[in-house]
Amino acid sequence: MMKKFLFHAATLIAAAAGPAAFGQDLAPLPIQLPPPAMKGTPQNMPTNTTALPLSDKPQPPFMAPKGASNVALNKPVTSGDPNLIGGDLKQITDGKKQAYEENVVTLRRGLHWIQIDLEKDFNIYAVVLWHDFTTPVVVRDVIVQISDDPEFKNGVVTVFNNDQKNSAGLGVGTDREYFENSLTGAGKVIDAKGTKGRYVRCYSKGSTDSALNTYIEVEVYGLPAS
Amino acid sequence: MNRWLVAALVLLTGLALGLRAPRLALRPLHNDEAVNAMRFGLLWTSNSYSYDPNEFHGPTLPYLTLPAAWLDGAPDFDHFTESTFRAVTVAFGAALVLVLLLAAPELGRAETLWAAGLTAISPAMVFYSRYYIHEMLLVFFTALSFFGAWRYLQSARPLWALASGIGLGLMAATKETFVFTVAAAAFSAVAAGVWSRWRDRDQPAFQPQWRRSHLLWALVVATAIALLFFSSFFRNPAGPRDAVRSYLPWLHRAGGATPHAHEWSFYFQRLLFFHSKGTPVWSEGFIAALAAVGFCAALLGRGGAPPARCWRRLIAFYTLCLTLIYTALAYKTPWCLLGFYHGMILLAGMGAVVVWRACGSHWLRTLVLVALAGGSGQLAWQACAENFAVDKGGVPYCDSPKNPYVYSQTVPDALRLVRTVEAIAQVSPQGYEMVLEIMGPESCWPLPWYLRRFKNIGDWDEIPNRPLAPIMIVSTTLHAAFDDRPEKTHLMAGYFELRPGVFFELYVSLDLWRAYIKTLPPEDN
Repeated sequence: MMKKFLFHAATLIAAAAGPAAFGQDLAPLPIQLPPPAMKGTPQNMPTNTTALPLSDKPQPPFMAPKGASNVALNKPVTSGDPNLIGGDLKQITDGKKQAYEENVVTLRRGLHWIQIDLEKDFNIYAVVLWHDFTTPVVVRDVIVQISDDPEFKNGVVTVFNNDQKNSAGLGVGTDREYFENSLTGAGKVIDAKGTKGRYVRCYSKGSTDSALNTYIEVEVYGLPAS
Repeated sequence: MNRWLVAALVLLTGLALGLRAPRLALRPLHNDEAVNAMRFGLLWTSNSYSYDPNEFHGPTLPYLTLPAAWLDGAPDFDHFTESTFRAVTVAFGAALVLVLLLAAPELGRAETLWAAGLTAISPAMVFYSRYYIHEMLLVFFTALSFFGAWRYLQSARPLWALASGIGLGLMAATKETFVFTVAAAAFSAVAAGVWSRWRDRDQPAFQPQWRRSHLLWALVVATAIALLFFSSFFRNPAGPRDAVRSYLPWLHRAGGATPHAHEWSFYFQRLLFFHSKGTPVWSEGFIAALAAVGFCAALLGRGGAPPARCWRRLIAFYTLCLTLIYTALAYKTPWCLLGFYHGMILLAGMGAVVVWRACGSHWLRTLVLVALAGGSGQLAWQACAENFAVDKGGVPYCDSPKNPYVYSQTVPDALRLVRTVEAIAQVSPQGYEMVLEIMGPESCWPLPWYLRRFKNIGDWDEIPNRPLAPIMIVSTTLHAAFDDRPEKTHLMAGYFELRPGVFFELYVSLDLWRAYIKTLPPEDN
């Protein structure tokens, strides 16, 4: 028991300090961006959000230990919503990220999650989300958790939470909302700080554009846990 | 004085009040209004008001707000509302109609009634009567002083000299720009005299009645009134000296050292043709056209008694001169047009009667009557729309840049910010004693007014090097990102627009925020 506690403490300290603390060489994550969904200045941008203004500038590269790759590719996906409105859950990890209608997986309205089983433990450095970015919407109550428990009852680490009003009941989120970047195609890169886990769960609750929940792709960058 | 004229002017004053007084809190306080309200707070709460030569204009506004505050019946300063303050300018805006009684004998009854009616319904006059700034007071005191002076020159009765002196003193104690008004009046006196001598050389000239001692007394009264106000009723001995010193910074601004420098046509665009996509064309061209007729008739007309001719030419030259002065000055804010626009309205009153009398036939007069009624109806409709109507997007015109008289106006979103901060204070153990900081290089007004219940509020031009306060309202231009700090003590709860294009972020400490969201109704899933 004590050994397990010490291990977790070491993981947490290392995670808080970032990848460099592992003494590993860092390299930019090899994230392949889909083409932009639109050009020019979007009209009627939502204003009731905490998101920073939409930018058409490229994001700075995200540094992670060398060799970190998308370990979610073609991995099984499940969801808390048994009745999808459109698409197939496996499309969320199929590597197709273009903002085409056929790539969009749509869940019903309200708070719903999708969960990726990485099939073994990984040290996860980043989770990259692409909701439907056809237009620059803001997805509400985005929460990303990592766990080694498929039920997400134990050992849950929340790496991103912008549910400021705690409407999901998973704690008050302190992160800001963000725009789905239809100008650059860049997904939301979430720093997972090397958190160890096998399962990645992503929550959302509609968007500024729709009450439905949409996903195009989720990538998880990590290295096999030693 | 003709009793029908008095009755008609009282009725028109009632119309003016009817257009000015309703729903005074519809529009959030403009930053200048909020500054004036807080300056009044110094007087009301601690009697510590003193004239500031660098900003904020003269002391009449806070002192003349006292009756409104007494009548309001609020238990303390925190309970005053926008309506408390705007009631002051509403009163002066309506009184501007009634004061025309003094001008009636030489202006003519019909002309006076038209001028009174146009004053009552002029959209600019209505809009800025609902604006807690000094301008409407200055226009009223100018009318009191000039009409009083004119009455004195007719009769040499000391009472009128006294009235004029009081008006002049109050003008001086209201706004520094009174010097332009006085200069225009002096110019008009000379110009009207010269013009009348040339134009009416074959007719008897107007002989003003006056005594040197009366004029001296009028000046003494004017000076005494100004001293009384500037010295905060003898409590601030430096006030009168500051009143003279104040002209240095104001001259600087008038020359263009100001963010309010605008092109020469600034006032005319607003008065004559103002149009944005999806809105009506706003125009007071009806008044301007009648004023042009009145101006020409005043200068060229040779009918009537010499005093009436002289009086009309005085108004014409005064209006022309003051218009040119304000047009030439680089510093322009739209309410500054009220001074010369009041002169235009007097001329328009004359113009309406000239047009009416110029029509000989019954049919032509009917046509003119319809045109005058139509023009007046358009003005009244515009006054109502600009103050009470909403555009297609549901935004009140009184708060929209699509209104010609809206200038750097507070966006209603600022009140959403205030409501959020107030609600958070309710869950804080410190309540209104909680520290609240505002940061940003831009003016944060009117937030200090709306957040006046907070006793520990401070503002900075930049991010101070000190521990983070429980609540911080920070300009987006500072890129504060307090929520990105590793200690994660605060979250960014939202953007709020203070003025068009001026955004602030609200940062709240996590413990306060957690307590606050427990008070919110559950969200529908």
